[in-house]
Amino acid sequence: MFTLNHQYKNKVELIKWLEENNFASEDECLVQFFCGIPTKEMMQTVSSTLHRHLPKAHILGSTTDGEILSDDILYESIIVSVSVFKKTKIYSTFTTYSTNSYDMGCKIATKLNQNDAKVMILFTTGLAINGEHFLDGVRNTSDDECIISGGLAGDNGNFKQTFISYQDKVIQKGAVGVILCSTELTVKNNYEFGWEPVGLPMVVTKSKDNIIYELNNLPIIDVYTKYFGEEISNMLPKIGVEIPLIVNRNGQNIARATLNRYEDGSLLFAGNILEGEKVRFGLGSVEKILKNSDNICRDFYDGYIPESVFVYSCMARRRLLNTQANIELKMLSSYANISGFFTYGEFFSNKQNSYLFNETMTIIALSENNIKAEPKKIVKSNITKHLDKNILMYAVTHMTNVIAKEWQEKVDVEVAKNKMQEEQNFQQAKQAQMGEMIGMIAHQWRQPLNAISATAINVSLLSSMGMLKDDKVQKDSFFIQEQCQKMSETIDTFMNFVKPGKESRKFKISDTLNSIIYIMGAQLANHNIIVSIIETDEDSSIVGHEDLLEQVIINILANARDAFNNIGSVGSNQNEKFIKIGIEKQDNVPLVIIEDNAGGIPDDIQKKIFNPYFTTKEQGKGTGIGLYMSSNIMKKAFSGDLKYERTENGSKFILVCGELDS
Amino acid sequence: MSITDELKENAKELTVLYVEDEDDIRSQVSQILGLFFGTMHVGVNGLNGLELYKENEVDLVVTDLTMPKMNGIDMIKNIKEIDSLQHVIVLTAHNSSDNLIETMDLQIDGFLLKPMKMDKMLSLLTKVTNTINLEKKEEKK
Repeated sequence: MFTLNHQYKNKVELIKWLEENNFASEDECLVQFFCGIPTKEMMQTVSSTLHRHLPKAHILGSTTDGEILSDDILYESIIVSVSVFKKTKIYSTFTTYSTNSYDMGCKIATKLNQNDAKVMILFTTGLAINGEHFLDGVRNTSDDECIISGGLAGDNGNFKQTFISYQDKVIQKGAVGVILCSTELTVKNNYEFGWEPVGLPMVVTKSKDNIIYELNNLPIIDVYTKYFGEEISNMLPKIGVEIPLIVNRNGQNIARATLNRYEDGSLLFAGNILEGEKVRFGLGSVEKILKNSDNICRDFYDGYIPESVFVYSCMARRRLLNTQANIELKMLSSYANISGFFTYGEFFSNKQNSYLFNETMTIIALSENNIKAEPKKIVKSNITKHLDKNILMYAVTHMTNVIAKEWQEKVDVEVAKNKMQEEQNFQQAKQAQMGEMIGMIAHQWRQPLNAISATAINVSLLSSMGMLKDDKVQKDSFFIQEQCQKMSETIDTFMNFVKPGKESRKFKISDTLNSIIYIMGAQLANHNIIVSIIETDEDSSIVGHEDLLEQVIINILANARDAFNNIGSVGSNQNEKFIKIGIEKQDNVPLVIIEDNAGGIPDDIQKKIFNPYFTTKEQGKGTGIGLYMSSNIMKKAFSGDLKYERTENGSKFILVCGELDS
Repeated sequence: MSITDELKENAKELTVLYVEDEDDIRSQVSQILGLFFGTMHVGVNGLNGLELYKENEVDLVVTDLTMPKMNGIDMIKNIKEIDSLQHVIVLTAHNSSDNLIETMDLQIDGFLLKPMKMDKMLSLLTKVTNTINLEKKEEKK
């Protein structure tokens, strides 16, 4: 096979070129033309001329944002690329958009489907088509082994109207494609990216398909303004390809360039970004692109001789690299005649996945002959000599990345520190809780132990005094057994509390409360505290780690107990001490409300109670992390909250076990 | 003479006031005290105990410390205000060392730690009842 390229000047010269090369006589002839004048008339003229003179050929056309011919970057030109195959069958087709992009992908892939398919080259119109959905449709209806290549048509960055064509038919909204089938043809595809993610990851908090409304809960346009300034954000969408968002999927950095900006401050991207995905800004790194420009040829180093190479490269690369965009084509063009165009999105696939890329340069290399050359000695082109014109851009890109990296490292260290601190806090809180629990067990056990001991003394005395009767022995033995059962149950309940790594599951809040009261009851009773559970919604269940909720409740109950202790020593004539625990519901979210009359927290320190290391307890008695951890647990593990309210004589803690609407 | 016989001899003419809030322990310990003491009054908390004390002639008070309504210490303080020489034995759990310090000023005759040990209980009761009887003899003279 071979490919010849022609730069269109007029119809006469084109026809002359076609005739000179006698393409009309070829049976398997693929024609691609890349049209830098994005008008319907021009597309019509070229496609009609080609179709008239090459009636047997498969002719695909696309409007562009710049054309590639060898290592030249052209603008507002038209490149006609004719490939003649000897051992390959070509099939081609088109489809217009009807229902949605996914269906369009299914339709064209079904029409193209053939045995021994090696590669599919697809062009779609560049606007108002969801490239990713289209690609999903293609992938789901085609053979996994078949490489997908091609891209979205451009219109010189105007984002108004793109065209594609099939034979002599110009299409405003649709897809065209060829499939190359052969047992001899080898196809290699590859891509280069080079955009550098900078800054911290941002979460996509509101998006639909390829429209993003919010990042980090802020309107996306405000986020662009915040980081790049008003002037730059006013240049959106035009500037958007140069500062895309980068999302990492399966370890692959995928850029998403802005295509349009809407009144409501949302932005349309050249590919989908899902809600919840993390994105970073991408800065086109001239340095990195140029440094890695030879990499695109890495598949050829083993001696593979490509007979034709097609390049589908993102418009952003031409815009960013400017006059140096050709540098990354230099090495490539030394291997074969190359042609291609600058797109609004590139199709790429490997065995696992297919991707709609932005900002990349993708290539496919074709060969029908399995001839291998001697592996080439790789001579890396000397980049620095190309850099003089771009020295400032190089410097700024480099500096930005270094600053970003330094900042990131700092943040990482802080994050790691915080994480370690959190872990320590958690361990500390857990240990404090263990101490609490053991205290509770002690109380729980003391009573039956004392009773058993007294019973034994009683029996022993009666026996030694000759007064022991059988029914007394029976009654007391039974009593001792009962007490032992009670103690054993306490251990079981306790073990259940301290059992590590409880799974997240659905549990009834009232069950949790009852087992806590079972363990803490004796201790609280010992402090003469009357505990009552008021269930207005006794079937309230939540999903989560039950032990974490237990930790929060025990912490608050223990605080209440200690608060009573403090006011208890002032005078013994106070009213009855009580703790009331209620289970309620608000907006379908369960609330656990714990109220006491232990005096409450003074207004001036109420704000601080959830701060770490804040404690009102004596030195050595409180760690100051109980409420901090409790609040964290409610927020993080239950997506809820922990709130404090002062009551007339005490405190009220509200555990919100889920997300409230408001 | 065994210690049980000695205690029985000592206590048969005496009246004990026993105050405890835990049902199971109260039931068992009151049975034990009942074996020895001629008369027994049983209170379920400090307030109740104090009432019973005011209503009756009492030779010995045996009381728990941690109780609702009125705790043992406050009850003993009240009793000592009525009769500063009143004999009192405190029955308490190991952990209440904080409370024990408070009782130091109250002139207590002895402590029994819960869970109780029979020999200690018998010897303390015997010793204290002995003292009470000696004092009673002195008074009669």
